Amino acid sequence: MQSSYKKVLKAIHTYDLEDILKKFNQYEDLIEGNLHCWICNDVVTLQNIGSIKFIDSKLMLSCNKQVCYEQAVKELK
Amino acid sequence: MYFLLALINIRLQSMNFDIDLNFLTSIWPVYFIPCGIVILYLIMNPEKAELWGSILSRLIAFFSRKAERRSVSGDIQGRLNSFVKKYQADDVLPYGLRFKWVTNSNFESFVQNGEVVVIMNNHQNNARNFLNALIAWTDQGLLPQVKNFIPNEIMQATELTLQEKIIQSQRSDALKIFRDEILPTRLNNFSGTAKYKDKLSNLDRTGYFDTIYLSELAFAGGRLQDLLLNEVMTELNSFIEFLERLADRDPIDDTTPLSIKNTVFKVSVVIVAKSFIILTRGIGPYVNRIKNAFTEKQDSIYVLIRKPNFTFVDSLIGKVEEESNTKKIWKKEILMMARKIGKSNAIMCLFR
Repeated sequence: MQSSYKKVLKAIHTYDLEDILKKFNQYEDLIEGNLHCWICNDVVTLQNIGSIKFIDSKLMLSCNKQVCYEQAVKELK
Repeated sequence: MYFLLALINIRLQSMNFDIDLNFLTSIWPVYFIPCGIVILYLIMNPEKAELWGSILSRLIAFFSRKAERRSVSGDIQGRLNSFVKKYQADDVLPYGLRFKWVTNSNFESFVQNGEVVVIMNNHQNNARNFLNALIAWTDQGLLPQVKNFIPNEIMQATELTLQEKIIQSQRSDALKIFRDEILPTRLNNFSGTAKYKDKLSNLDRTGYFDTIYLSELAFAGGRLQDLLLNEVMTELNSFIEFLERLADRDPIDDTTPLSIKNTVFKVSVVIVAKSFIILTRGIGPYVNRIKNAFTEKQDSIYVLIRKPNFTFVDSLIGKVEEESNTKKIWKKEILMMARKIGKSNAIMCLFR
């Protein structure tokens, strides 16, 4: 029998992304191309955002390149 | 039920509707029995309930964000959990998957400091969403007790082969994205991954990947932690080579070894393929082979039964359980590819 325990994957739907980014005052920066992937340092946009890391009341973003996504996933709790 | 109908009747009468209670009680089985069967089926098959929930949510996803989220997560959860159920892979992937949607209003309560949250797209991109969720799920949940003892290149190849199998089985429209965009990068992560991926994909085609390879890793892989790295490599290479020879075996060849007894992996395979043995001597010779394997202190005995011997499966299992101190762990119907036979259905049982 599979364990009743399930791995929880916390996810944000792209529909909710704008509100969350605005809440942390980072939406404008994202639109203006001022935010960079915390892994590869490429510019992150609404089209290529792959994950968010929440650190000390700030959001760090990663892009959706395969390498970066996998790296981010390794940090999932 | 009568109480419920009586309440409904009272309520309707108070609203100046006069409904005949006898009429309601006479027709309720027409509605409630099929509904009960459907509800029971969905309770017994929660992954199907998730998939149906996702389909229904998709109908109203345009009007509701909650429905849109549910349509994405239900579809992915349902497919992944279906795979585990279909392949009885609970030892290999012991945890299910559950989405927790983070929104503007629950962010503070759901997301802890330092935590990563992945982004999921609209349900119309669910092939890509599926891949992203699959990568996160297998990274966390594939052989969780064992993965740290397996060298990177073999673990990576194992994960990729399993991911490809899951995609082929549950979301074949994502296969092209996986092969074009994900596989090439990941094959280069560790040198040697591509070589092992080829070997394991071949085992998958021939029917020995999830049935024996993964099952034994889950069962005996923990013992690898007691070995030095070069011993680990020797153990795993020898086990993979054993399975490769088995996969490449000619059906009439009696010289290929059907068992391996190393420090970690102690496996025997009994193949029930020659009908004339069963017709002339019954299932006795196979029962004896299985019992002998346990006498020789093998951990796992895999019994592979090819057509047209399927009718003997249950009596074989019963006889083995009756005459030895072993238990059938699982019985699976599998699709195999064998030399001179080609693709064919088979039944495999595991005794431990």
